[in-house]
Amino acid sequence: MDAELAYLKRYPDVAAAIKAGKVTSALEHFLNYGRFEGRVWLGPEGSEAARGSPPAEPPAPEAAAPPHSCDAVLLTRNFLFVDGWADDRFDSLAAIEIATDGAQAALRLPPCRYRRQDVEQHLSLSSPFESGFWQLFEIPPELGTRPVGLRLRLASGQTVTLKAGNLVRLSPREHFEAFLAFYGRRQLIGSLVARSFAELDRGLAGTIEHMHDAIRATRGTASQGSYGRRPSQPLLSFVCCIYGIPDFLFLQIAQFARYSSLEHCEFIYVNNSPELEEVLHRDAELAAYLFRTSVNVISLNQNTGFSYANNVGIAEARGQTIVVINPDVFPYRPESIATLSALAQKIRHNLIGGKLFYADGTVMHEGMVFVPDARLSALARTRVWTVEHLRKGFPDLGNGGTRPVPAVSGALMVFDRADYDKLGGFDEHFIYGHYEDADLCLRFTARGWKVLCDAALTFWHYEGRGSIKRPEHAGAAHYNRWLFSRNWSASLTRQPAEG
Amino acid sequence: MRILEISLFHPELIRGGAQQAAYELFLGMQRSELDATLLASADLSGPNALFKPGAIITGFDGRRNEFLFLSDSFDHAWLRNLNIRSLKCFEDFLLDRRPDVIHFHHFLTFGLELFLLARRALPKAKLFLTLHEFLAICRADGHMLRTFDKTLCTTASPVRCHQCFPDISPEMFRLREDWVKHALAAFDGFIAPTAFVRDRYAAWGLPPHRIHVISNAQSDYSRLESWRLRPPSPADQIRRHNRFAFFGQLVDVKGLGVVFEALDIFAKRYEQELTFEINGSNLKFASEKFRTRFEEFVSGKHGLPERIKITWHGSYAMTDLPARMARIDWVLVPSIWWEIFGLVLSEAFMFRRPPIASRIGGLAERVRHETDGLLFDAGDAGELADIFYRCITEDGLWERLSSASPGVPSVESVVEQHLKVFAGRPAHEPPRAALRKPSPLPLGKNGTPRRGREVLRAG
Repeated sequence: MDAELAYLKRYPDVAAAIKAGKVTSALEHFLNYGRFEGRVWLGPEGSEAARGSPPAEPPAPEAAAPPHSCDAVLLTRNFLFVDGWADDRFDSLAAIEIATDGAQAALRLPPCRYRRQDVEQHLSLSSPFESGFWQLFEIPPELGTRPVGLRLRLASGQTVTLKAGNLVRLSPREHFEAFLAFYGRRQLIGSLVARSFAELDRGLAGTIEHMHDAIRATRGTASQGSYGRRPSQPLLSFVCCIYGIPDFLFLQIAQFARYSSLEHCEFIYVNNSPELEEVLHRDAELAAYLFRTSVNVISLNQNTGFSYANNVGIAEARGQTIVVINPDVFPYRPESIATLSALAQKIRHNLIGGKLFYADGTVMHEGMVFVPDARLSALARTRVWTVEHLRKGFPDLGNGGTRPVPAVSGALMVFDRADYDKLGGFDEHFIYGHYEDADLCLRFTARGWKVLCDAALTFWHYEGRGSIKRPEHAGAAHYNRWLFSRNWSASLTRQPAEG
Repeated sequence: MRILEISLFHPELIRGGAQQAAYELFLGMQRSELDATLLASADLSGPNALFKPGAIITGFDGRRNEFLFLSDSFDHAWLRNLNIRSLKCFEDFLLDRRPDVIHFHHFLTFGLELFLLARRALPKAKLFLTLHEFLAICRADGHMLRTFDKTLCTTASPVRCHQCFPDISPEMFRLREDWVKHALAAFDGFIAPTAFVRDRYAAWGLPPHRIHVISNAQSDYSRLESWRLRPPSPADQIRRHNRFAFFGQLVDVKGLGVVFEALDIFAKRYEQELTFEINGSNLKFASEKFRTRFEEFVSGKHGLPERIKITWHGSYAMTDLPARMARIDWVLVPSIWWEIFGLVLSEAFMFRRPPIASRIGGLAERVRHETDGLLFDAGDAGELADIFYRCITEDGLWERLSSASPGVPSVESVVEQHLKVFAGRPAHEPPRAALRKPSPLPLGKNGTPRRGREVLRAG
């Protein structure tokens, strides 16, 4: 029985989850969920190659080595992620090293730490202790694909060789996702945001950026289809990124068609879920036929994130007025579309958002403001910014008019294509989603242009329903928040918060 | 006036109340020499041999003006038709036939898109939809029963529907309602078989003035010779009216479980003999719990005393009704869901078999308590057991209720009401006196009607 089988035997609910298609393997479950639930990954009984936490008998690779385990080594051509635990209360862990051959360390990084409640139980500790360690290495090309040796270096100078017999090779994208899932879900003693900022400042951000760059280089279009009669110069070009849920393509166009002819519009859906490709093309054809409009589907070869997908969609758009819209955004009343169409006349140098409503009728968005988070800023020892939606969850005051706001949500933003081109589009350095909309708004205002909230532009926004959430998104959110703060903190600090 | 009737299924392929009513109406229109066409759907739950490669609309045994719509891609989640060829063929069919009136009886198997397509393809045509159930309002098979405790639901809302389907967010129910109402906006008017249905849909948001109440079309099978020529039974004069029957689908919501419970209570409270005959099928669609209970009672394993006899006669065709009705006195309609119309009531009325029905939905509207039938609170087995006793022991009750039976409106009158609505006039429900009375029954010595079964026995 190998480690996978041992895990499934120990946790029948995981076996059931695999059978139900919720996770693909025992290892995936352990890395993404199990370890955070206090579950234990054990190797074959009595096997020296047993990995996991905590082992029945702590391995003693070297005479006086403290109890430890290397739970996972995830490897691609250029990156290595190691995750384990060590009881270093009496000789603290100073570094994690990668050796190629011989004793010389090729790479050495200080360990990042996290809390392992399962280890605390195993060691019968009475107080929380960050026994977990992890690190993400970027492997220089000269190391090539040679087998690696991993070891821990303790403060005393002693080294502890880690058993990497269960090394898992992954594709760059799988590796990236697995790391981000871990990064988003790790438990700490203290603030996750503050620790993340510190780790990212210490160099982790560069490694993540390089991983992201490697994946960005593999992005591409898998298929593209155009359905319905496409206007040469549409009044409005709707650009919408689809991820995880295909239903909204048809339903969104249906909601627009409920109130207006769509012959002067084009809808461009950019698909970030390759597995939905066929369904989206089918629904695009159906919607174009039934609602007599132009529907275009660009299906990408992977989840490329909000920025890239929208940039691809806008590049395909024929109209001068671009409407970036989430799939779960729909016209609130018939006039909403007329208002949208009227914006085409006054869009130059204006980025316009609307008043968005939850399905229960309360306000979801009428502009966004940037607020320094005092608590997180104190913990992180640097200014941490939060993007807040104005009057979120409150009854509508019925206030009308157009007013300048610091930013508007990417759920619905309208702008002139020429302005967008000058700005270079959405920043693709953000991973998956979050903060790109605020970033675009700030770049807009930095040019001296206006970001406006038009209260007459009313739409429903069933926030969070239009796409799925995956574990890796949590890790990406930490990075994006850090990136946004790094890019804009100084600028935002100079101006008073609005709201 | 050229009329296109569009029916969910063809009753000769798949039985069901909605398709039966649609087909009766279509046949009535043909008899009235109207230019009527029927387009009935068939899906993969029926005989697959009907499907032809590449064809969406085909004929039906060469019958004049009867066509089948072969549906293979209906999406139950969003009530959509996912096959673009189906949409295009349907539009071509409309342009080919060019009806002045398009009368839908459902959207199941067709897809809501067809409503929008019909409006677009023939902008001048009048579009009508008969509201045969509540699927437009309720995702739980249109039953409007809470999924978690099977209690009756009176109002759909995003949060309430989410409570019934916890995996689906309230927002998705809001979207569902929007999409359904978008498609229903294509209609010039709606037809509800009962005021109960009209009121429920009006409360949901359909314009009340555009919902017309017209009874379902239903042929009077008591006019069949097998009933009319059945000689009276001398035994009828000396026996008690202790024969009860159920007609319909053998599924949970039809309430047979309430009858079983009532029989248990009756056995403990009373000493009279009683027979209970079950006519129906589709047990496979019932819950496992119901199936187990049903089999216990029908097989005798449940342990009811011998004076209470239960017999299951299986499914029946409409032409079997005279024989089945001849051997019973009362028709039980114990539904525990919002019965829309209660086709069984029509069957009971046409044979003068007083119904004993749940006080719910269209049943409560159609049965006049103590006049032509009896009502009891839905699910109240104790009350039903007491009604059994009363029916068996109260002199003159059966005769009084039976003689007041309203019968069923003639199909021709139902057609006439539809034509009025199609022409933009109110249907004007006919006064009850205008309804055709059931065919005269042979009378006994004391002037009460005789039933045929006993005559056959005597003969």
